[in-house]
Amino acid sequence: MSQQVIHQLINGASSRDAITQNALLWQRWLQDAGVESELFALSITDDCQDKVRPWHRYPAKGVDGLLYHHSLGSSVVPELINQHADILVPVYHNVTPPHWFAGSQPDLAQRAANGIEQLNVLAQAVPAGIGVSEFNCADMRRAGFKRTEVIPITFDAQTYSKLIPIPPKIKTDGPILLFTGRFAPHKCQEDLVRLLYACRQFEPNTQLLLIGAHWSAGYTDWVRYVAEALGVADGVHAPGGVSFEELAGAYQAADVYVSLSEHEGFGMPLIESMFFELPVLAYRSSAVTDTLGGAGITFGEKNFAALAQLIIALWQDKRWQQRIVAGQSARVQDFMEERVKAKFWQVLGQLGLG
Amino acid sequence: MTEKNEDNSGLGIEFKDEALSAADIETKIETALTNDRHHEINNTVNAIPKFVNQASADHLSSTAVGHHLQAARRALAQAETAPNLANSPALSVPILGKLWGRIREQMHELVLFYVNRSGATTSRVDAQLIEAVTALTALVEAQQAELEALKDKHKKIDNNPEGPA
Repeated sequence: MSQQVIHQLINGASSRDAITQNALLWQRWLQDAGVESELFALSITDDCQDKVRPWHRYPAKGVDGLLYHHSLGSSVVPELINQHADILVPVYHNVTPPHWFAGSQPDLAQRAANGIEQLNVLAQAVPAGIGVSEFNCADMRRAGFKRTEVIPITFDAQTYSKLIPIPPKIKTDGPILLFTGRFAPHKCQEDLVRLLYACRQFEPNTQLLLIGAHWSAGYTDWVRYVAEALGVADGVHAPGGVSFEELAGAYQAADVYVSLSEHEGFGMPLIESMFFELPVLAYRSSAVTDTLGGAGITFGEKNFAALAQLIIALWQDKRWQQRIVAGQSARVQDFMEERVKAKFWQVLGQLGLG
Repeated sequence: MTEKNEDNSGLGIEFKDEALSAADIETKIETALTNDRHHEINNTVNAIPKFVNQASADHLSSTAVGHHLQAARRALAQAETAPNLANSPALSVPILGKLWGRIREQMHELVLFYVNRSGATTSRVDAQLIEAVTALTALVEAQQAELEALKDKHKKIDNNPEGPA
């Protein structure tokens, strides 16, 4: 019997990219099980050249399955549909709705709109697909996929356990609120600044730590403007993108993780916070509810004054914090390698690839 | 006397806990937050408008503009240049060739040091200009949408001059 061959395709490969990391992990699972598996990409950064092969090297024949990781619009989709539809399984990582970028990055808005359109096209060509959360699977079903299965993104705890955390240089006897994610309108960092103002009315030494690349200069400037207008700029710490060591340090130094994001395709920082035993407070939007799975504290209204009171109450009640963290620690196990790997093989079996 | 307020907790809190319920927390918030304080804080933070991002993606007709902006961003990331030393017959001259090679390399590096510094300043200006063009594009798109809506309204009035607009 010949060796089974299952390859993967991603649009852009980069060592810091979550989709790349996930695809590399799946490749390892496939290879460990004796399946021939390569990872291909349309563009590859220098730090990934030894792990990922360019798409033009993809073998035309002898492949049993091709897992295509889809998000923003890609030039490869027509080719996949025309030439590889019989072995194609799309893996959907979500697309942020284009209207969030229309005011700041129209070019990205177009790629997002294209990505959503291509999901519909893919659904016409192949019946089944994989989503990284139930939220994404719901999008896929709306696009027309007849069958969808969830394989969540794996949380690689080893990456963090080897680190020596570098805490941020913030000195305060008030609570430190943390949010991680690139500066973008849908992540609503500006609302976190509004929340900081509200918290400071009760705890004047509250600080806000915003970790994440300053990805859209226009939006970063706007967040700074809101902080200055509300007179809380001295409490906003935004170091940009940081190393894994600094990120781990931030999770350990903070008191509460707060998300007011209006759109999360998965929400890896929620998992990271739960892993680092940081109580999570999150606005119920998009995939947030699925990812938390009942852990942490969620809310449905951005009532800043009330939310500030909630944060202060949580910060002062250590026993409540411990109980919330215990629930979160149980939830984070669902994203550990052992469980996700079992789910991976189960889904591949259901799709006839296991 | 503790003032009991209505709807101040308005958060729709959900969490799993054996010792506390969402109702307990909402009561705690209501007790701590007077109506005046609640409105004062929310009015202050909500007085600042949200970031303008609501231009509809349906009106992103400027495919060419989107493409050029994307290309400009990509080019910006590759603005820095590296030494490019072509092979020279002079390098094969014993001793002097090696020395000449080193001097040539150092001179190239020196020139590039200043060129890259100057380039970095130009890149910052370019990045700012890209952001400006991006913002203007969004503005044009929004105005285009408004114009189309007004045209529709105008057409309705033309078709039915007696009826309500």
